[in-house]
Amino acid sequence: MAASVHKLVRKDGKKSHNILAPLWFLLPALILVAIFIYYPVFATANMSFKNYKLFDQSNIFYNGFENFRGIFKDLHFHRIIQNTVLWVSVSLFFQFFIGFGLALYLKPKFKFSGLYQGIIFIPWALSGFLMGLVWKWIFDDNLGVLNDMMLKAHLISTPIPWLSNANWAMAAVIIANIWYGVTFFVIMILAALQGVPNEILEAAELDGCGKAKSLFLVIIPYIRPTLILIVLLRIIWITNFPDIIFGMTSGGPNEQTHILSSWLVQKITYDQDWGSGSALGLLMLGVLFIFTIFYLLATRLEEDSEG
Amino acid sequence: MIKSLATRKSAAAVTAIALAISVLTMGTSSAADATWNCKPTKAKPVTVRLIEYFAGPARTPLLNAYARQFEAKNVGVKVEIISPSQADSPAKITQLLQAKNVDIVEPAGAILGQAMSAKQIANIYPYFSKTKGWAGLTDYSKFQAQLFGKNTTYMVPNGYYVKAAFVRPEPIAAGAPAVLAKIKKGTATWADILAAKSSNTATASMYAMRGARASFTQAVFIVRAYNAPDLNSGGYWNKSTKTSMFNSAASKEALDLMMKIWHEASPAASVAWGYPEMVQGFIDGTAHYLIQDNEVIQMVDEKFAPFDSGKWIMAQMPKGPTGYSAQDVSGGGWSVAQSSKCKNIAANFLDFITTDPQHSSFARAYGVGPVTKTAASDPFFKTGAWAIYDKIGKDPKELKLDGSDVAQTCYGEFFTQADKDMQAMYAGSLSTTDALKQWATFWDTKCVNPYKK
Repeated sequence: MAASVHKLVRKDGKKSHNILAPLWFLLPALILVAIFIYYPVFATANMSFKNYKLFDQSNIFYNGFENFRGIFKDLHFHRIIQNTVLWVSVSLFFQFFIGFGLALYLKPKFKFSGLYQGIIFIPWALSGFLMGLVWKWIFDDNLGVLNDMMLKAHLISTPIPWLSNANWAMAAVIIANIWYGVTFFVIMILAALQGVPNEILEAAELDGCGKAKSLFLVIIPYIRPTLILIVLLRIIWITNFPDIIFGMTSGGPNEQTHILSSWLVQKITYDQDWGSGSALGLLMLGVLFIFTIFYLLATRLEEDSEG
Repeated sequence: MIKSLATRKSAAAVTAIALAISVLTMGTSSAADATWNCKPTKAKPVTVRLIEYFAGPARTPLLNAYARQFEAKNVGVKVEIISPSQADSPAKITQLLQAKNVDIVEPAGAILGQAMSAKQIANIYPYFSKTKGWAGLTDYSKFQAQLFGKNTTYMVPNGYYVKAAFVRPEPIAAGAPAVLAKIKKGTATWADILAAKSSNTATASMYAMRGARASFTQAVFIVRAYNAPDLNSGGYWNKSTKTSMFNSAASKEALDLMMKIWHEASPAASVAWGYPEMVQGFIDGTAHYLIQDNEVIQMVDEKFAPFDSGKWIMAQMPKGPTGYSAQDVSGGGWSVAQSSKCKNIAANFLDFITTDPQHSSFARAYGVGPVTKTAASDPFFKTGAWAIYDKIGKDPKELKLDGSDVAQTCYGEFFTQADKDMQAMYAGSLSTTDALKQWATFWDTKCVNPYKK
């Protein structure tokens, strides 16, 4: 059946194999991918070895690994790496578990469950930058609603410097990011949960499984491939998600809330240092690529050993 | 033989005429340049793309209205206004210039210097100086338009941004009445601003400091006040030593005072304040004293209280120990891109929006200082909150700098680095001594010293 796909009927009535036929069909997609994905990657790679500052376009030249050296030598580099790890791990942890909990809660049908699901999904439909601006006013040191509520509830006696202190500011952007990303896990896990056949759950119940046992021994193993995939996707997306940070702190104070991707945006848009920004982009691409391979290999190895 | 001689003679005549034409057209390349002779028709329309730097509700609709009026008067011309957010505009303008995909730009801040060094801006003087728009400019606007040399125009001014203080008298009267009296007289110093920390309350502070983008301008205000009148016309060099002003002992004293004002008289949150947050901070009462440009008048008037209510007053910027202050009075403007395929049409549109009543309506609506003679004589710009600018204009101890140093190519790099240094100083990881040393070295090594040209 599959082979017959490649057999074309010639004018003389004879059948011939044309192995190029699938390539012709793929060509439009390949061209688009090449133009919009691979060309920018190669252009970025090329630019990362150049002194390319928009402030002085008369002085553009190849400078070897200087941009990469500059990144590693930057005063804030270690803090930015720490921030990135913290940003991804803490955000992911809370987004996943809160999202999982909400998905389990939303799975059974109840009155207005559709409306409730719709409300929960709203954050995912909003612009990250816009949400950053909203959270910025919520966390505002002087006029923010959060400090105001905490003061009125006597939880604090002086306003917390949410956005003017580096550590508080990092906590604030992570809180906002957790809120923003929970929805993604709810949507994906809920979809996966709805795919678990009721017969299996009923069989588990007949075999004496309680709700907790069903969850850990039936549901989670069943939706495990989905969980692996969405966790991987989310790690990549959170790493590449500077929107909220830019909306709330622009990486400040003193560049202490930057993560790699927000630092990259700053280098391109504010510093106008395209060479250094490209080098950072290339490094991020490399790190995420290696991480993805290891992650997929590790989860596969685990599956094999279980199998 | 005769035929050959005749041919040679005619050939020589043609060559002579060609040579004469080429010599005559040397130096007036714009006349021969096809990009200055665009002739749009209904069948062959032309689109002129303009990108603004300071897009906003007060001016963007007006610019679009002018574009439609211009289109109606010029068959075959379409004017497209591009209005990025102010945070994005520097990058967007730079990218469009680089992509050669724009006709008119508003090269504010560091963009003009960098675009000129990359030869991306056209000299429109030969064409524009013959227009009605040029004839209507004030003498100072003509001087600004020729800042880079006589008979060269790389930017046509579209409005002046003059710094003044927006003051809430009530809280200052309660905590620092003596300082308020000085502020009203126009004799308050930066040391007085620190002294007025006594007007701080649990939720409000005296001074609206700037911590985010362009925070270094705060340092420049105070450092200039401490160095004036020993400043060049651009305001970054000492006349006496012919080196960067950041080398002087007065600069160190000024920056130390600025840090005290930051620690003791400013809201902690202002470390993250950029332009909108500073204005909002004043409007909502978090800060009593704000230094900003004239276009803020309209915002404060609308969002806080009308000027006539007396809830806020306008004052001159604080002075240094010698009684002087200094600021750039250079403003923004429009430039025609070198890559424009229809420079004459672009220049015609600039002529249209620079002519009154278009410009005066623009200046009134957006709240910028007028660039034309007729608009400058409009009583609107001399009364109410605007009266302060008349006072500033007449005060010989408030030096008006021409912006020539801000237009240097090196300024863009200084801008970004100095902003980072300000953040580091606020966070306590950089001393004022080290910051000044870096800035002085930067200006002395990377910029053009006007005394050593």
